[in-house]
Amino acid sequence: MSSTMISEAIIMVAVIVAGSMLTQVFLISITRFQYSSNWATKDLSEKMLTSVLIIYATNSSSSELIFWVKNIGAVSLTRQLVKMSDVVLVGPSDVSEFSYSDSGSGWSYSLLNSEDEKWDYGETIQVTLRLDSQLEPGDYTLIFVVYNGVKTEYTFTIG
Amino acid sequence: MGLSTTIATVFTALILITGFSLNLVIVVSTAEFLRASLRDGVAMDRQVFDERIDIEEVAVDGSLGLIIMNVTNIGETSIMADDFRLIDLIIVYYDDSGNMKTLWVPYSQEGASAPYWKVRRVLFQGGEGDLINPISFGLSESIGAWDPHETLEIEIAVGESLSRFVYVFMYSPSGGQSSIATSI
Repeated sequence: MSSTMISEAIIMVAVIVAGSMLTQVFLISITRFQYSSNWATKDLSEKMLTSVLIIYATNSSSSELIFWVKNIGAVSLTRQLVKMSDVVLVGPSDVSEFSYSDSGSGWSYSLLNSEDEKWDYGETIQVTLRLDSQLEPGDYTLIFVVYNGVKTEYTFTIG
Repeated sequence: MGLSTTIATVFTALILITGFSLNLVIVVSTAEFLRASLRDGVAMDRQVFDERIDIEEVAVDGSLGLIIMNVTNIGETSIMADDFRLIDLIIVYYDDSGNMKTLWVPYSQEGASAPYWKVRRVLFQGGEGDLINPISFGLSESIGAWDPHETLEIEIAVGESLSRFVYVFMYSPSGGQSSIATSI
């Protein structure tokens, strides 16, 4: 009887310890899953609310383009986020990708109708794209991709 | 059934209940987050769909570099006067020397220095008047709205002489577009 009780007690302690460990591992896994799930949902939600539109594009010289991009989404973009955008130019004979650059080849921008430093809904930026080669006559497609992958395209012709 | 079996069963039940509850919380919070985003996204899309404008008439005084045009709100939503700064106006024109230029024209109701565009008056059914949400321009802020079926008479000052022809592109705050071209 006594040995049975001791065995029962040992098994009980073992079950409690095992159960506690299992619970802890389970809770940690669930917390990690919740964190990942929240992160993915937040990312998806931000993408859904981000929308930009190139409204017009033209060449200002033989190696420079200017175009205007309007924020028509609910997400405000800080200067740091705007600078993370990429510009892709699909020309008649080649495709080029440009990053933000204050000088030399690349793109820079100015906020046109904003009351602060943020690019908010309805506001427009004027983008100047400086190329490292001469523009040739033909059809061009501009693609402006913001930091989270949301993009806008505009096709125009240089005569 | 021994005590250890009972405790093990209780632990298992607790783990299952806790896991199920946490999963439920995650699913509900994710769904709530997505629902809010979808609702906002749909509202934005609806605004884009409902906000439409139409440039109906344009008159140009080439020597003064002045463009007068009538634009009607043909959408289903009003555009607040305070948001007129969010309306984009781009003109493509030839100057006196024959150079083609593209200009983004800023909104300035004061019209202090060209280039600018401003609202001269509001028209409704062909006559001057603005019964619904009447627009009033102030120094710091404007009140009222450009309602559906109302027409704005807009003045665009380019700041230099125009020749040959002019293209005007206008975009509402949510990106609704209208354009017109005229010879000079």
